[in-house]
Amino acid sequence: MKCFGSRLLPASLSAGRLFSAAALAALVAGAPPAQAAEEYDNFLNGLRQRSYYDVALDYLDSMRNSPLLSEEQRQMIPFEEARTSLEASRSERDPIIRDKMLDIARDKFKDFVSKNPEHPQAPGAETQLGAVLVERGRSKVEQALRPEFEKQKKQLLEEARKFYTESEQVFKQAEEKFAKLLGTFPKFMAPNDPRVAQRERAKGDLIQAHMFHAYGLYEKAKTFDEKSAEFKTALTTAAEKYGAIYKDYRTLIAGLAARLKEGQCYQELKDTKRALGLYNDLLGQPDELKALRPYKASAMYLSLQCWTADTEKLYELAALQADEFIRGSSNDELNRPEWLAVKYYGALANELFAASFPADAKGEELKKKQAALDNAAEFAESVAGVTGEYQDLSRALLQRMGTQVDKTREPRTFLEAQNRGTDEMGKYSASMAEAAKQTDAAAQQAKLKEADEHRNNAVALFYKALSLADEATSLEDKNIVRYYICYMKFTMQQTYDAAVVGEFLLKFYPNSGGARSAAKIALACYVTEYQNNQAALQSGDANAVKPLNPEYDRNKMYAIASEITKRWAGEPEADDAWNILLAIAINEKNVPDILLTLGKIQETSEMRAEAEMRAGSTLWALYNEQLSLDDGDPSKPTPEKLQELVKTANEVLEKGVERRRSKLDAFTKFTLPDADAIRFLVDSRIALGQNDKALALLEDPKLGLLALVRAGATNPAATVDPIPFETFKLALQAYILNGKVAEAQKLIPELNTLMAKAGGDTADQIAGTYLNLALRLEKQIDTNRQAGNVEGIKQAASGFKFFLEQVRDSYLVAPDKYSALPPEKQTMAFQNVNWASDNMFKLAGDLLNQPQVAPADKAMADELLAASSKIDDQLAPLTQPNSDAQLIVKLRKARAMRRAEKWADAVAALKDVLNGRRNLMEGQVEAAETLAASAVKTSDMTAFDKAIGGTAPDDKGDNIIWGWKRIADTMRRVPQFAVPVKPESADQAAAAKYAEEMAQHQAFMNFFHIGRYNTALDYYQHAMAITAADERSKLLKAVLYTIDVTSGITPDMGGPTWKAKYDELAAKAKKAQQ
Amino acid sequence: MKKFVWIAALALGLGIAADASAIDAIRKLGNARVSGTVKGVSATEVNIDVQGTIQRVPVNEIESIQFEGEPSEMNLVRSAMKSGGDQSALTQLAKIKPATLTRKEVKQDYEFYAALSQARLALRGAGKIDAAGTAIYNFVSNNKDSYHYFQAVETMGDLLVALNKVDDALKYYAELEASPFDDLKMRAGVARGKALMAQNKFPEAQAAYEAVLQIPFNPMTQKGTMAESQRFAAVLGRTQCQASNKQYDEAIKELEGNVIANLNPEESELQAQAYVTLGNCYNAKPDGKKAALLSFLHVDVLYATVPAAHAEALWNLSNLWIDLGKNERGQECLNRLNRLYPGSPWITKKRPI
Repeated sequence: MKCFGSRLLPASLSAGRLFSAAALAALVAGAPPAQAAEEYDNFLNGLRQRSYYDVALDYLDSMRNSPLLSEEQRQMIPFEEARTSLEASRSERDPIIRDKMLDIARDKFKDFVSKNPEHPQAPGAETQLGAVLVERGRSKVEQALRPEFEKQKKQLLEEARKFYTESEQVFKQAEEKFAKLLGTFPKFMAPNDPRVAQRERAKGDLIQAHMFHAYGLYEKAKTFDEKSAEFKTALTTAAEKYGAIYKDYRTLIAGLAARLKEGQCYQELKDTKRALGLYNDLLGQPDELKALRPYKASAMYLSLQCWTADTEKLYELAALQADEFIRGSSNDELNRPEWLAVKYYGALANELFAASFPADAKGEELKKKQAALDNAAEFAESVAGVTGEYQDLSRALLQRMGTQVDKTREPRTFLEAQNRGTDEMGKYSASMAEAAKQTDAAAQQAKLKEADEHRNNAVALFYKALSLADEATSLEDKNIVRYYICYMKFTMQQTYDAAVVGEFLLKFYPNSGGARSAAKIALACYVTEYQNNQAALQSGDANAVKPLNPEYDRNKMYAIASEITKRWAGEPEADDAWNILLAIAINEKNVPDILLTLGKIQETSEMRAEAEMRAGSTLWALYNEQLSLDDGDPSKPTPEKLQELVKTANEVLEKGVERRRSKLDAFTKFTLPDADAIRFLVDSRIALGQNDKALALLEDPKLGLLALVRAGATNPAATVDPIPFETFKLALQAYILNGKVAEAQKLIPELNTLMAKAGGDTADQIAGTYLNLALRLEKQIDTNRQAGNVEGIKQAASGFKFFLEQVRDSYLVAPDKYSALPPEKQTMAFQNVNWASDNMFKLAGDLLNQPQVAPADKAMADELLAASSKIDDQLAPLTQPNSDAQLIVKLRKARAMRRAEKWADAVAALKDVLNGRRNLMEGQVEAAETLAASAVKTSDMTAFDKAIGGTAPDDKGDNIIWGWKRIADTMRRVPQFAVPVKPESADQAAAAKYAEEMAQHQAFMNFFHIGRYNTALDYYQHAMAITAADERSKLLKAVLYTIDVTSGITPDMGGPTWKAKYDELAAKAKKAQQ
Repeated sequence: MKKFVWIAALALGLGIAADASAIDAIRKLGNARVSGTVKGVSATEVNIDVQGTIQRVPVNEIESIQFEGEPSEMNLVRSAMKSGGDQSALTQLAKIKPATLTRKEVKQDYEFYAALSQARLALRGAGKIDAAGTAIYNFVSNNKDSYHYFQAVETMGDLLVALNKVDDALKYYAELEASPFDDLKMRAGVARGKALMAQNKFPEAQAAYEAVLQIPFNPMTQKGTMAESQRFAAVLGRTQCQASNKQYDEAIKELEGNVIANLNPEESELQAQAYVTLGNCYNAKPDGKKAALLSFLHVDVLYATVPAAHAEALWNLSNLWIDLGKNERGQECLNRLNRLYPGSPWITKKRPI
């Protein structure tokens, strides 16, 4: 849809120049504009002419309140800002930035009009708003023509059309307004009438509106297919509009400019005869008027196009006209764009004229033919050396004519090298595409080799182009070549070469067309090198090439990403770069880098939520990995560090999930990463004790996983394993931790159904689930125990109890079923149930050991103890008689009975234990303690005697339960009671033996003092429990006697700790005696 | 555009009587003409017989003199020099054979214009200072009775400053200062100030400028005259001294509030220097780069015909553009500096770190 010559219209016809009041005056008056003498105006215009639009805007801003400006000039500042932004938009290649500039222009024009409705320029400003719309339309059309927007072409053209249509309304209104205004002036006015200036302004505004309107109509035609009826209609409408302008203003340059455009419209409609007639109106104008010369030149080259078209074929006429025009032009005109076009088409006309002669032309014909060829060569040569649109075309023409351009010879100019390089690059792409289609390996190899050659040629030519660049070579062209080099090097996997060029463009020419892509390539190169180096370092392959400076590529990656952010802060390129680095950090589980790179992705970016969820999920996984390390593992972080990690993971997940919330308005929109992130968030809330929040999230109407899993059929992708299973596990935990046991229990059938659907040994899986959940809670309770946090224990107690019961129910089976289990399963069942009983016992102990035991805690403790005992009753028969396992179970039961203050049961159980194992000191001590405790609780004083002296005689009258005295006496009689002799030699074996003997001695001594001390203690407690003075006195004396005797046996009283206890007891007894 | 014109003979060459060779014509400042026969010429005045009456025209009121019998190229020479086309002037002078010049005043004109063109080319880096210095020196030595004398003396001083022989230059400026004309004294004072600044003797330079400002001046009657220009030049010089003394804010205030605000936009040379000074002041401030850029851009956009200032502006612009992240514009400025002022010292000046 390219319109011939549209870019070569004289400056005053391009929309930008129409804004200038001076140029407008020129169009109206037909004379060169008067010089504006104000420095401010000159400077501002000078900046715009240099395309320093940004500086011009800064300058306007700085002059806003300057006393150097007149009030009139200050009022015009928004107008000038708008105009500057509009002009700037035309030379901006980046469509995003161009649209922003057009927005600014629109807003500023509107601002000017609203604040200065009566200003003479206000009507013109309104017209400019239409021009903004036209530019928007042009921008859309330009985008539509780019290959990367092929898929959106139709939509873009429609959008462009809308803008043009909207602009038509603006212009129509403007035309009506200005026409009406113009009509208010009298037809004839004296030259010195002050209203003359106003009339001229109104006239100028009207002409401007007409020209813009016509221009918009013309541009609109380009949104239709050339062959369509709409295109024809649109172009005809534009032509008629231009025609109307010419009719009204034929004596002005504006009218002639309109005539030229009218001709162009008909030319594009292939009505060359009509177009030629219109061009003739310009060609017939006198040469003396310098301002008209560029228009005449345009008319000439457009006429040449028509004469040489297939519909006319008036080659001789064209050749003659071109020759006459060119030779009649002045030297300073000949290198102007319009004249270059005339020369090219003149050359073409002469070429065609020469070709119209027969090959064997003779005499006069031959002379004419040769003259035409000479003219063609002369014109073409003069254009081939000038950088511009017609350079290549002229070269091609010269080539056709027989002045062969040898493709193997070195290019002579930058442009030639660039064009040839671009050709080779295109051939490379084509060869690669063909290689991809080949099914035969040999044919594919051949194509790849061909592609390689073209690529090498392209790179060589691009480097050559840069070496041929001179002052006239535009920076933009050089940078395009640099970008091509960067891209080609990247495809050749010459990553550092590509990275260097890419980084160069990023740093020094970030506004060039290829800079953004080059920056991405540079980053990709360093990422590739980094990953390759990491692989080499970790490969363990001795032959792998290790990098000398492993940190180099990593530092470069971050530096490039930072540079990208600096240049394009707030734009997708910056976020993309950090997202790439985030992926690397996640892969490496590098927490500081994860947080750093995540933080660089803008909060408002579309990719932020997903990045947060990925990062949070990784941190959560890392937390669990580190938590599961053994406590003795040196690589395991401290509890504080782990806490910090889980908090961080939680915070990141919270943000990510919350950000994602607005997109997840239906379960069908969930993705698997969404489901994972939400469950990790629930889990982390639980880990942080935010149980109510965890449950709230599970039950959330929008984000709730329970609902998602239950509606799994609507979104199978997001509810694959292990999402459902893990969700129910979390829900179980969350309900329990929130004290909603009933709701937890309601989940169990669902969980069972799920397991059944999943197949496999469901019972085992369920049992394993409960065990794992219980183990998790055990860890939590253990941590609270170590920290002395009773409240924490109590919070987890009911939940823990629930899971322990599930474990019990899962593993505890009747003896006959138990014996039918394979040995390993028997062991596992026993261990798990024993563990459950033990934890029930411990939990009860935690509750009962509080200084003040609330009734509810007592009730739960009793329940736990009863449950533990019941388990132990069932466990004991599963063990071998008198085996250690049985002893453990029975002893625990006895302890449980004691804790439950079931004294008789406790003593009976202990008797049962000790009957088979009299020397079990733990059991003996437990029995004596139980008796003493029962004495205190039940006020049965005989229990004290039994505690001290023993009870439960066997058949032979020997007490099964020894009591304190016998415990101590027994210890005293064993050889280990004596202090071992320290060996004199430094022999290691002897030293080891000594250490072992000493440890044994200390253990026996301990039991001795347990016996002696508790003897004294029970005497004391007995004394304090009775009122009879004599009995009391006797008992108190017994306390002191016992202690005294003990000191005689062991003068050190068993060490400082025991001594302190003895001393305290003695002091109490003495005091009680008083 | 009105350029500041010295008392040298720089006639427009247009609108002069058809038979230029018949009489002598003095073109005065303000375009008034006095036609007659020049009877006597000295460094301070020209006596012309106008229909029998001798008029004494002080040299500081003379723009140029067209002499009877001079070659026709001389008009072109004057015209070229007036528009800054010193090379074109030399080209025209080359067409004249000195041996054919018989009249003393014409020979003096020829010698003076040749020397002055060379000097101006050399001073903006497009010619050799030594050779130009010799030519001017010879003129000054041999033509003390020329009406170009004082201008030649000033040019000699300027060349000596360029050769870093400031003390010698000051002697020449002292001679200018001894002239009977206040505006020449002002010129001398300004030149002296510039020379002292070249030696970094800023307090003395400032004193020289202050002395210029003490010379009597009537803003009502002398508006638009060379005296007014010299006063502005002195104020400008004073601000340059302030800038050198790191009194940037004071200098900026003076430049923006007084000099630039009141100076005629057509005083290109002074305007250019004012903006260069302003740009240097802003550039020295930590947050002044943008303002500096705008200042130097004024020179590039509006006063590119003042070579020394333009070269300095281009150099500063190239650095500022790079500092502001617009490397391509910086490169373009450097390219133009190289192309337009190949011998300029700014080309080899290193970019500040």
